[in-house]
Amino acid sequence: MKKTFFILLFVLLNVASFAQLSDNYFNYDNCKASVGLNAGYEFSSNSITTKFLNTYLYGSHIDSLNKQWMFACLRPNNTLGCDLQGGISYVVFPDTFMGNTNMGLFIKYNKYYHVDMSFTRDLCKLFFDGNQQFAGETADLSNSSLNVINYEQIQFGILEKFGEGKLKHTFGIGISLNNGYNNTIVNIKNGSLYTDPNAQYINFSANYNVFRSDTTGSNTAFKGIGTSINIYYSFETTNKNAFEFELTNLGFIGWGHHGQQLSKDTSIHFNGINVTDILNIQGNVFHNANADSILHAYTYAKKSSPYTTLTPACLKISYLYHLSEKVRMQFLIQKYFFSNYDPLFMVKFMYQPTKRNIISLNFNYGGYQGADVLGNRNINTGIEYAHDFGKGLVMLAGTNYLNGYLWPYSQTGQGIYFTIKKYFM
Amino acid sequence: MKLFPKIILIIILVASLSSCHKDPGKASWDVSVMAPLINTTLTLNNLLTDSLIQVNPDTSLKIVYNNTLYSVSVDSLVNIPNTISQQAFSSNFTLDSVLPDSPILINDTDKNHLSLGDAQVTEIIVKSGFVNITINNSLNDKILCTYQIPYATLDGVPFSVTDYVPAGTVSAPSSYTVKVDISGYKLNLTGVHGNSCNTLISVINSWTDPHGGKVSIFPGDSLKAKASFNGLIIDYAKGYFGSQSFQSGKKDSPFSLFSKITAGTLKLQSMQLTLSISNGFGIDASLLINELKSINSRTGNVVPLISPIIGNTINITRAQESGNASAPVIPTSYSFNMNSSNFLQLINNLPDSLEYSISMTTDPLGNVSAGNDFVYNNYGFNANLDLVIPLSLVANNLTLTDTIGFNLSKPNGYILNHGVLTLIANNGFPFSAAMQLFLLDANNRKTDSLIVSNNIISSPPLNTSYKVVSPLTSIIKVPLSAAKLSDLYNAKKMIVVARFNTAGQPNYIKLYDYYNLGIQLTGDFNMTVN
Repeated sequence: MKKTFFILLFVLLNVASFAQLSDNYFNYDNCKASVGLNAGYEFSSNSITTKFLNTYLYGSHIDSLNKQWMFACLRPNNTLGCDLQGGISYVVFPDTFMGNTNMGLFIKYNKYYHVDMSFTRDLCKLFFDGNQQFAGETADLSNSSLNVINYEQIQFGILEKFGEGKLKHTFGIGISLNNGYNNTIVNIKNGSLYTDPNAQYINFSANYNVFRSDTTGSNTAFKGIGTSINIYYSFETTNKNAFEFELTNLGFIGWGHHGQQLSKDTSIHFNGINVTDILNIQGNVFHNANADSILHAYTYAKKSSPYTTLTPACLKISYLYHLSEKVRMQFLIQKYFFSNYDPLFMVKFMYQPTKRNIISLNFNYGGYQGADVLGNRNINTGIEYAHDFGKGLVMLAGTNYLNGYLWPYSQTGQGIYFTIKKYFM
Repeated sequence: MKLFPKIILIIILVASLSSCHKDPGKASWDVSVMAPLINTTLTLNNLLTDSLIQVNPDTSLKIVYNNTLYSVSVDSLVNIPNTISQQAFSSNFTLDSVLPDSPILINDTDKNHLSLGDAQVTEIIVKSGFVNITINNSLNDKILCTYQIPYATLDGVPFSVTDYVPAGTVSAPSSYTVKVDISGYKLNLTGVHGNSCNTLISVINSWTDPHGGKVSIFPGDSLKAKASFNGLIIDYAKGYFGSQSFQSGKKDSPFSLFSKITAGTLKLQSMQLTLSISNGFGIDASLLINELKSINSRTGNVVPLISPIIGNTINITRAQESGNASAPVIPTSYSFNMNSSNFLQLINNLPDSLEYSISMTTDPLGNVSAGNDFVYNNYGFNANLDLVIPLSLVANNLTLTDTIGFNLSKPNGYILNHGVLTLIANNGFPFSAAMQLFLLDANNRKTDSLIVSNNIISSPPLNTSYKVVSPLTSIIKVPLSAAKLSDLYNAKKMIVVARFNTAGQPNYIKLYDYYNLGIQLTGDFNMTVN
């Protein structure tokens, strides 16, 4: 009974970003344990240039040239995604675990910060250049969205290796407990802003909904709780060719009783602040007309109500093929669900000049930049370097957006990732 | 080759740490924003105090302006001295073993004859005020004192204060002070027998402490008591208040109706000026207006009033008591039409003050009411100039200037770099207006001018009756450079100058109550947001 309980526990408790398990480039297959540290970030868009985004993120002044370059890349509908994540993991393969000699256990702590948004060209130009350019015109704000989710998770799971001979199979499953820090979701189904040519009035109409986690307390306080599941399967042939299937973070977070839900279908005609007696104005008539108070009036609900969001789940399918002793090739398809992330297609070439070094070059297409062949013809180039320091200490680092660093005014993606891992034999 | 992975590792760590340093909240960028700012409607009621404007049956407007020329209040007529009583006793012998609760030192009645000149006041009702009582005691034991004004009553109960006065010494007497509210008290000043006047009776008694031991009194021991009025305001007084003469001397009375006019001419088609006198005292009086002048300090023009009321005594009879508590007085009123005077010259001088000299004598024939004169607090003597001006006028470069307080704080979250303010005026008044705004710093120095050209709000077209057909829209642009914005933020006051010209000159134009000026202020700004 006790044995069954532990099996069930580890089947239900989930883990692992299996990416760290699949980076075993240096043949530490038979390690008894490993501890790893990984981190990475990715900003990618189908229109927002790297230069523009970095200027924004680094808190500098966005000059006119920078904006014009970015505006030139805008499309009628645009997407921008951001993922920052990091974690530490520990994997152990005990000699026997409940009588099983091929079973591994792992525990992992991860932090995620995910932002993805879709927006119209007009919304972006309105935000960064004002409404003067729309004098006498209607700015289209429809079909725009924002999703910000920040959470951490503890993962537990098991790995089971089985199969001898030609094919070695590995199956893993785990469950994570998610603690949400904050979440904001805005969906503008229909929206428009008309500016009178003489600025005598502004007409704003929008049909939108807003979900927001508890706004009280600090950003480091837990405001939501949930769970997610991770599933991993791979098989490896005798010549080390490998197929991997990985589904991670399929789950949810409930944002508690202090969450907010707001749906509005509103139309506003604004022709200035009405002043009863302009010759005897007491105080500042604009006191209650600042951006914060307007934002609060139209995006905050008066009552709290709980809601649930799905965590951005990632499906990854890859196949690694050894062309020779030193050259490998990997095909990968990756898709984030519940976000504006199109399937990402990647081809990676890996070259191992020495026993302890691997250099990779990849070409990828899709993701937050979109997989619309007619709209997106941008193929990103990535590089990766892996090094074995010896005694089981391995480092892996790379980027999938080399273009973004080389041509920041025209390219729209950036990101790096790295892993340091220690294998215990 | 071994160095290479370490360099890569360091680069990645530095890049990652840099990523953590990102602060999106600090980014800034410039935007060009167009927005309506203020929307308002100006009527004549905004330009003139509401109570000045009245609507004629044909909806045309008139200004009714009341200027108080001269007034006498109850306080000026009846002035009660503060001191009520001062009583003292000093022992020059020794008394041993005085039993508790025994009368000692002062047990005295004071009949204070109030110093009121030739007035003979018999009754006063206090609106508000206090009686301050101070008692100094040099006995070694505390004593019990009672201070009474037996003919000062509230609801029939005499004024009385009883309290202990602490022990003192000959060299350092104790001091007891109490302040008692006497609002509503009725003071009978006719004395004990009811046939006197100006007489206020007070009684003070003292005893040894009823709960103390035996007391010894030595030579030099003393007890002093003083009572006085504090902040006494009379609600009602009766008697004879004497034949008093009030001389105003040469006085200036502000005349604010035209005070903001700094240039140009204003022709008014007609007007009426009336001197109205109201006597709320139950006292006969005579009034003599020695002179009345219209003074325009801007031009230096002085126009004296030439009228039969100047230099001739006006006899004014007393007011009557109504017997109605809510409105106890029926004032006597006199109205003197100025049609036979040169008052048009007086008003067309556009005065900012009136200079006058007035003499007034109360009860010029003496105590003819046999002591039955009366005064009530809210009823005094007033001489007013009432000016009625139908708003049918011709304004020619009529310039109004006003200085207003101004304090524009810098906004949070964005910086205004430069822009244009646009004033969109939908003018329904039958006159044009040229606007100019000047900024003043804390030292009242002009620092900038906001509107320099194309500053005219045009007059709308008029029909054959010289009425506005439909409002006319004018647009005034106010460019705001960075320097002007800086001056705006630093400005503490603003001078508003408006120059008016009526349409259809030289015809008189009537102003109607439905006329208004719609004003909308819009902004087209370049700003830096962060």
